[in-house]
Amino acid sequence: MELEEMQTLWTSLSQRIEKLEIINNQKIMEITQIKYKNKFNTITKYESIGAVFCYFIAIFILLNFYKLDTWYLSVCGVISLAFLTIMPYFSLGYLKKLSNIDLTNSTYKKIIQQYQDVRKKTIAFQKWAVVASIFMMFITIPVADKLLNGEDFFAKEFDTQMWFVIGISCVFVVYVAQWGLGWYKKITNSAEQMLFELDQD
Amino acid sequence: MQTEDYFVKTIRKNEGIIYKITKVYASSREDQKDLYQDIIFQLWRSFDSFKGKSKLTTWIYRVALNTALAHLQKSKRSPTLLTDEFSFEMLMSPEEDKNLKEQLEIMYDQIRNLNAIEKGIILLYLEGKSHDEIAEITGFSNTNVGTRIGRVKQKLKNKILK
Repeated sequence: MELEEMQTLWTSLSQRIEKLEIINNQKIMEITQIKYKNKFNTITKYESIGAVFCYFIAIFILLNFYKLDTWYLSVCGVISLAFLTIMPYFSLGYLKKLSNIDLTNSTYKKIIQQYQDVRKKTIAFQKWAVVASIFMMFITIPVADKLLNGEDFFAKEFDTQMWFVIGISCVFVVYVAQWGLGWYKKITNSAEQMLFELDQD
Repeated sequence: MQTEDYFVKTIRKNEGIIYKITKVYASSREDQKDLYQDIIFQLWRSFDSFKGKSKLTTWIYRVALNTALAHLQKSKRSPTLLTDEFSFEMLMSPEEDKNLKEQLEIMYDQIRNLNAIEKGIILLYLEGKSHDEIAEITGFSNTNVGTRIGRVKQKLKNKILK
């Protein structure tokens, strides 16, 4: 369908719409009374639950930090604490930026720019988070082993079962990371395409 | 009470604009209702801050298009207050013009397939807005609006040739 044909159809549609009552007065007022549900509420809810979970583990490590009695376990503990507190902060921060975009006092162009900008940063952060998660898996195992079982992961002898568990975990984490990276790459490409379109004047 | 009355009158007068934007930016009926509700809510939210610097319809187009854009980023709908009495299919009776209905669906599909920037610009172009008005509503330059409309024309032509 060519643009001229569309225009004829659109005009015909507009004429018909003008004669109709789409929404009544009472419904309009009901809508104005609703508590505005932020469009990012759902994702923020999951991220918040994740953040609470992270902070809960961080507090647990902090309270039991004295049990990490060697320098290398202490280092693992500090890195785990940093990871568990910084990650949710950034993740929720980007979501807050997205939900704070003002739809009523900006132009269409500015809104697109803001969305794409925040999205690009979020994706870059998530990409980094995927790689960091693989690293973190190896850091948290010794900390958890010490705090939950009282054993020094680096000092103990590894049996076949232990190697098997580590092997399976590695394959799983690499698989999830690759899937995640592929997904983020796909989104990044579309975000970059949109910014490219926006820059063309 | 006076503000509320004026707001209701404004929406009633411009409900066609919201309806058309809703149809272009959302494909399922539930999504359309959700977006319609979101747009009315955003308009109400900023109604007091509208200072009349631009025309009322310009402001409505701007808020409605921005809300529609945000809707594209949305992963989940909020519960809708618009129930069955709110019908998007009441524009024509079934026997009236089946062909027109099909043509409209083809048109909506083609517009929905455009990217977010083109979608907004073409919608305003179809509304009969001048390049200057489109530029004012969207924030793109006048020349840029012209270029993009030209590009969409070409895209649609290429689609026909395929």
